[in-house]
Amino acid sequence: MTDSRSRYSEVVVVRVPERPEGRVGRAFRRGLRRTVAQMLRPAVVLELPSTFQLDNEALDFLLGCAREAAGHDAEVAIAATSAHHRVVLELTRISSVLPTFSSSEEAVACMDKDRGSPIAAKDSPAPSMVTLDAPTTQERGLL
Amino acid sequence: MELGAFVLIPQVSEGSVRFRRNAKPTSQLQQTAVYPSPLWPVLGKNLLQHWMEKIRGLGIQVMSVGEDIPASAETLFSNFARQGLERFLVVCLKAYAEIDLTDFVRFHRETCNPITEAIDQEGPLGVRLVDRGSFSPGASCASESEGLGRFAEYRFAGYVKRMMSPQSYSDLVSDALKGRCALQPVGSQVGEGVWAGEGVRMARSVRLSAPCYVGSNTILRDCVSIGPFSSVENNCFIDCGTTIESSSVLPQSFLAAGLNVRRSIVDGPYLEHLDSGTTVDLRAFGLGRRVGNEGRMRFDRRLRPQAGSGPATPARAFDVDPISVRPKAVAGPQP
Repeated sequence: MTDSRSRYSEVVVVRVPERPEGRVGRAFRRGLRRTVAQMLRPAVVLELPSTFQLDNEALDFLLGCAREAAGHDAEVAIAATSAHHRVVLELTRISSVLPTFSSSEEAVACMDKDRGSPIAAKDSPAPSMVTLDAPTTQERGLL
Repeated sequence: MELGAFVLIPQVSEGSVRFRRNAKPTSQLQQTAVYPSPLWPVLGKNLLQHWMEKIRGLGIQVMSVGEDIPASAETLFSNFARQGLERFLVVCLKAYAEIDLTDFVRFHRETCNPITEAIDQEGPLGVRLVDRGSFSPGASCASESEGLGRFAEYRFAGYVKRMMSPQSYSDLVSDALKGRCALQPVGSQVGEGVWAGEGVRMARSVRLSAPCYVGSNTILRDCVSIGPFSSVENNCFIDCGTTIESSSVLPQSFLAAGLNVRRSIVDGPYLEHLDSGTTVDLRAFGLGRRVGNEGRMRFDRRLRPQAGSGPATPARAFDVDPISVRPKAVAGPQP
């Protein structure tokens, strides 16, 4: 019961690789898909490191991640610590599709609040941090 | 007694604007902008034009414009002195101030001080009247009021906005649109709180929310939304679906389709967000750049239906509605 409830209430924070191009990006998306598929009520925060290279490809990548997660009915938010990133996300209207926050804690708190009563229990577990930026050996073989 | 005037534009060193001695530019946009921020147009007219109109209103015939550096001021002064001028009105473009210059000159004559400086609660406004005998290059620069010797202070309590940062520029635009100051948009009023300059071309689906201003020869494509509290200055090109809210777009800027510009100032390829102070280079994303008149017209030609090409089908690529920018008839009492 406890286990099921904790998984139900889980909001996963994933740190996006600084340069999500090529195989690194593909592996990240695959890992994201796998993580989301294991959750009962998936909610994912994509945390952008301040050194994240935000360009056209990176914006495409973020949208691809969101699409991947949305395929499993996941809620997706972005946590961007850099003001520059937040301005670009707002300018390109990505922040109107994917809620954007200045920190992952803020994003998790907001998502927990939105997700309703059984989740927002006082003793709900802390959000788990998942790092998906490094492809595993098995994944490297597949790439 | 002959009165001459010179307007000094704050020095641009490596793109930065020097308002005070050793002052650093307050924002990255001030470093990257083509013009110093006092020359950014506010609803079609920049500070230089504003002050020159005021000076002409005084009946001053001899007027020069130079950089706010002692060497430039000295040259201007020696030129003026050769013409037998006895007093100089020196305006350093640092603030928009609604000073009555006639009263300022009258005050200078009455106080019989060699130098009179206009100040408000925050300090000098960069407007100074100097007698020929007291002139020194330092006396010209608004940044160097110390060591001037005997000077009178003309206290001004009216509307002042110092153009020190993009935020103050944005405040001035908002105040002008709200009617909080006497600054009038250049162009005609096309609706309640909506002004447009000459030669504006916009699609029928463009939405203008008052108060807002669209400068001359600007092109607004389908579904562009401007305002409230926004200005798009002259010769800009705003592509389809872009929303501009509480922001200003400086002349000759191109903005790509579908953008959401909020609380920002755009100058060609740079966008500065007013709340965070972050400057974004739009070229990296292909979202904005500076366009000259030729570039703007090239866009225009590409979007217009070609005359004589194919059957006379109404091309809808760029559906211009010149009617929408006609001056609105002022509603008067009905007979």
